[in-house]
Amino acid sequence: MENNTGNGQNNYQTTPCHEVDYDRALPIVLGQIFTYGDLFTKLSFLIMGFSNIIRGQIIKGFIFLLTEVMFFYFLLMEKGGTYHLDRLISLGTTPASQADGPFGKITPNDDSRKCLLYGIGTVIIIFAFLALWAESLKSGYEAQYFVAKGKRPNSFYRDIQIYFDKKIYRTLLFLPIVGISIFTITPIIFMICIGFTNYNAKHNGYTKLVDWIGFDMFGKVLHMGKDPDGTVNMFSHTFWSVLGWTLIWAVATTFLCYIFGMILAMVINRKGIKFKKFWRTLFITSVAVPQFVSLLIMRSFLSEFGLLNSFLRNFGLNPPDWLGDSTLAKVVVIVVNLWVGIPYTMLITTGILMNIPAELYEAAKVDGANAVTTFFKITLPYMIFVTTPYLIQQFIGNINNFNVIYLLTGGGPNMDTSKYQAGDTDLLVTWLYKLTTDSKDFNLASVIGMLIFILSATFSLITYRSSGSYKNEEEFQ
Amino acid sequence: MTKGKKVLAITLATTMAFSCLTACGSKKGGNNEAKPTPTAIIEDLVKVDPELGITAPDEVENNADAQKVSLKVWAPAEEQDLMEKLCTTFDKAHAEYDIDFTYEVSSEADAANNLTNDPQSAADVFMFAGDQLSNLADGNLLFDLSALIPDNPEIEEKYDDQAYNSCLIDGKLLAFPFTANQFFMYYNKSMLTEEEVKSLDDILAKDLGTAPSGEKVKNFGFDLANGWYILAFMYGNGCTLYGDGTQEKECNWNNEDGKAVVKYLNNMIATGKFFSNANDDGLPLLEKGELATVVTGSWNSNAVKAKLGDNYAACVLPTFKIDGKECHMKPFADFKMIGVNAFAGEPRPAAELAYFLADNYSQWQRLQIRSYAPTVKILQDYVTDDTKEKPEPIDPAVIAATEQMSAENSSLRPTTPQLKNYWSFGQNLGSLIYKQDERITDESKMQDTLDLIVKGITTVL
Repeated sequence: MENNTGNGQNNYQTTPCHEVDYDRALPIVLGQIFTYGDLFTKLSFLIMGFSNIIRGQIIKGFIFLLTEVMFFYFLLMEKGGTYHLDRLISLGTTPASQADGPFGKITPNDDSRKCLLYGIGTVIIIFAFLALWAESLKSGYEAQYFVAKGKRPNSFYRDIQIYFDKKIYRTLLFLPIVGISIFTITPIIFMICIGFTNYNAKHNGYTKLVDWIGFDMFGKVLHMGKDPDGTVNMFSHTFWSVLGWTLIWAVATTFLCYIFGMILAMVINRKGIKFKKFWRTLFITSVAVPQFVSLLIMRSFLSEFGLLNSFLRNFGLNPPDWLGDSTLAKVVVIVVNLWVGIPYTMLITTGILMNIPAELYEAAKVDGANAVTTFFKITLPYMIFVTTPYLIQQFIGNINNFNVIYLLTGGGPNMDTSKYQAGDTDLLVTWLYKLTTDSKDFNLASVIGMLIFILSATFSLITYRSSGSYKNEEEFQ
Repeated sequence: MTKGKKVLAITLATTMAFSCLTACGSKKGGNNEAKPTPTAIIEDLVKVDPELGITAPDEVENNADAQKVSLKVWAPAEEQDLMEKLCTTFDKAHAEYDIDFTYEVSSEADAANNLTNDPQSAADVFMFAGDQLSNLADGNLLFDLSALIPDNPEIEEKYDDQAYNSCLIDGKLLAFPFTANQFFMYYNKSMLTEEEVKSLDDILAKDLGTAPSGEKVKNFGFDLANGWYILAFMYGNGCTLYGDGTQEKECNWNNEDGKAVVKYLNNMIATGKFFSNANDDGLPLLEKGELATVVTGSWNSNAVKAKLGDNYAACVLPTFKIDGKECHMKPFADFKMIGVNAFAGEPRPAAELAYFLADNYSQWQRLQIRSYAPTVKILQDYVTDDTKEKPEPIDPAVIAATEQMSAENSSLRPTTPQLKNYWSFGQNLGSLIYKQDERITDESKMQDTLDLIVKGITTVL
């Protein structure tokens, strides 16, 4: 240690003192700092930056101290942190009320949604402060260490320089992290919290306040067994049957699109096929039309008295109601989705097919393998190896494939008398949409959203980690 | 990392973060701020018919101490022009107010949602679809307009009873109805007579032969797989939703009366003369002469007029016979309404403006300019009176809508917010009947199916 103190920067980089191991978890580090710190460092636990000030890092120390003062001022000021934490727990106590008299004005009062939002904001601020507090303790201990070693602690200017040199990653990531916390993390926490409240059509949050209800909604959705009167439980029945159809849909669309797209690409890719570029362009044109346009056209084309059926009737046939019969509608949406999805798979597989080394095929030919064998021994393994992550992403995308279902059938037909706000072709995500826009069951919708996330995350993690592309990354190089 | 690269990287990161911030900032404007050019430009307000007893308000100079008021008004895009003219008229007629109006576009269907999301920045006076009334009332978001009654006692007598009662919840007058927003029946005069369209059984009994295209003509077009329509039959035979309209656990559609309606509808499908008018599929068939009647509302009157031409006619919904008993189809009496935001900064001028916008004079303007069926008695009489000379003939659709909203031909909407549960199950019932699913055609299963539907309608989350 002694001979490693050539300049300040090196000192800063090495573990400043063998007593404290900065690589270890934070509470342990803090505990060590408390154990080995001198009186000033220990006082820094209460008065942030005290150790820095004493040891000459005046500006840094005062910035820490000022932050602490501001934080406690924020906590204790009128309508400050403690007020918001209190309201995060109660979600408001007084709803807006009208003044007496016929033309009395309404005084806006607590708004549960704001209570929740500001409460979450306060919690985030508290965590941010705790992180800064831990940082200040480390810095205070470092200062103690430098002084103990007879060195001058870093000047403020030097500290700033470090943020443009060794610690530039922090400087670069600062704004993105602030942005993500405000625009992504906070809304997500907010949405998750709604699942544990009774925020719905009957509680708008300002004239009818919202309360915490815990796991009630999860209980309703995941309920097993029948209702006391012997009939099915509507909410869980809806969830399980919609989930079942969502999985069937996701598997069917993902794999059928994949298989047909691959066959199409291979056919076009065959030697001896002329105008390859023309065929590829032809098939890709269906992508050029915005999806919602082509889907809405499909909808009116397939409707009971639509073009297709009047065409069929002209031949004296008695055509079915394509989108009006439960089973048929399910088949039809899968088929229509093929038409939308195959061109994409074709594009991707074309690229991969052209990349398979031709020597592999030549070698196989020499060994006397026929087309089927080469497909199953060379093409398919290669394809699957390269496209597994794509398949996973497609599968998750199909679980959440809002457009096709919503624009084509709107979730209908609605033939199941025990489903709550869901039709026979509704996916979890379109059901969620109906819950938020039609029946305004925001809390139920939030729970469905969480379950979709858990489902997608678990599935992707398991399949991705057991895929060849993850385990043997180098194999095909 | 060289210094230049570092500077570049920091600049890029900052730019990205800021562009993110600004992108989010500009979105905040919301959908109500921009005011598109009004689609219907009106040259001038229509002159009032002096014989009617409707007078245009007098223009007066503002008092020296006139109260400065700013009011925000929401109306759909096609109403903007008329709305601005009426509001200006109101301002000129009131010496005690000096009003600064802000107009924003919000369709009647969206108004309630927009208001619920942020009532404090929403409009003071707004037009909305009557089906939103109970939700707004449940959230205490509507100003109680009964406060106007002491000064304007004529309010209670002015409006059609059904229209007035539709706006009453717990004895509070929460909105003013300004036009009917409901369905009735259009028919082809050359296929059915005025007498025949009075009874559904007569309509279905008639053999209308084949159309020029060779298709068999269908007699009755109705959107059966739709909760809003199918309840007209149920209410017609005495079934109700949510008891007196406030009991969220009540629904008697699974009783004998309900089953009788289901059987009647099953028989109607069996005649083969019924046409399902989902997505307005029936309109093109009217033109081809393949459909004799279609049940839809004023919103389609121009489309139907264009299809039927000289054979265009409209009437109230027909009656139907169950066990020899004559039943009137009773859809919900639905209205478009004008309400005042409970959070309005100036409740009194806002309430007076809302009243003016739904009063005789404004309704007269809407009737003449936009063919809106009136809800004030004086104009209803004018519309339905055949003997009176009129500057322009009244659209039969307006007369039909006016007659359809009578207590005999319509029912009051339940006021419980639980009504949101009903729509999906009403659609359920209609779909099962239309598809002649065995769950509803088989007499032994019919009871169970209806029980399940009732359970769904009354389940509280």
